[in-house]
Amino acid sequence: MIAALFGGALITYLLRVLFLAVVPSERLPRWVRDALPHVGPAALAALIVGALVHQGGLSALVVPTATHVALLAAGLVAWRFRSLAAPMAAALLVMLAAGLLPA
Amino acid sequence: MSATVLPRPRLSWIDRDAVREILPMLVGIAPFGILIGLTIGTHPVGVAAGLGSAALYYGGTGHLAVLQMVTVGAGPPAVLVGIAVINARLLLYGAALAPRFADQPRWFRWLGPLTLIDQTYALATARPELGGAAFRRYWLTLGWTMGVGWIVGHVVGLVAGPVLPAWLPLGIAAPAILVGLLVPHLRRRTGLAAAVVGGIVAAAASPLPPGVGTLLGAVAGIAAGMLAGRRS
Repeated sequence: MIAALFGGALITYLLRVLFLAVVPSERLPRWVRDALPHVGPAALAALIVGALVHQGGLSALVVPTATHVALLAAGLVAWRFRSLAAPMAAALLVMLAAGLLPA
Repeated sequence: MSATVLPRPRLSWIDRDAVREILPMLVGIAPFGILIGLTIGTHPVGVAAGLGSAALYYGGTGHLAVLQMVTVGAGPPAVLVGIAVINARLLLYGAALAPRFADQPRWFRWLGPLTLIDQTYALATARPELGGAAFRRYWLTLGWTMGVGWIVGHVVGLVAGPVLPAWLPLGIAAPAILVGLLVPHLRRRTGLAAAVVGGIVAAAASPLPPGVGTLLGAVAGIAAGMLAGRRS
């Protein structure tokens, strides 16, 4: 159990360090370099979907809930302001307000 | 009598911009850290191994997934393959940041990646003007600030988690931060294409084991972004 736990940590470190210390960046193929600017939006969108499913199951993707409204509010605030605290505060306020509403 | 004004100590190894930029993210992931602290408190690996591994994983998704896999009796091979899939996006982040690390000292190229996560990657890519020692200072400040806060979150979860009120919507904080990181990318057509396709594919693949849907979504989104870039 402990070996699996710390082995997983070692794998995680190897994934992090591979292209930063082991394989020189100039050896990266052209298509990899072309793909890099798109890693951020693609991975973040996939992570958000994963977080929704983790919290509410598959139905969380199709049944509108307070979580969707909260994340929409976070998105609108993020579009307007550069701060990262503001979207989080907006989402928390929406969830708190939703908790006060009668079921 | 004249008052003597002492100069304020200047901590040259701390980048104040990095602290200011990472703190909101730290607040955002604090509930996640508390949740993992709660998990560690009752997990058979024990508190010492749980907290020690938290510092090494330096990221909640993979750590929590491994703790869950170990709980249900998964063996080391399954755990290692699972964590490789869940954290495969770190390879992509590393490749994206490789030019920023290429001219750095050897010690930094081996130790700096320890703190490569979604948040530090996103902040570093938003500061392309930083290079050399300035980038090192920025990156190390991001890493230490986030690391200290992350472990404190775990300890809070261990100590105070059981008495936190259930009505606190802590679970929304982490996805809200991810939304905050994503939205600036949507101003570009290629970023919008990558995000939409990445999200749809991740949703379609969500019944697959933990992490696989995220990886497939990321790969599909990257392909969509590249296609959109070639057409424009």
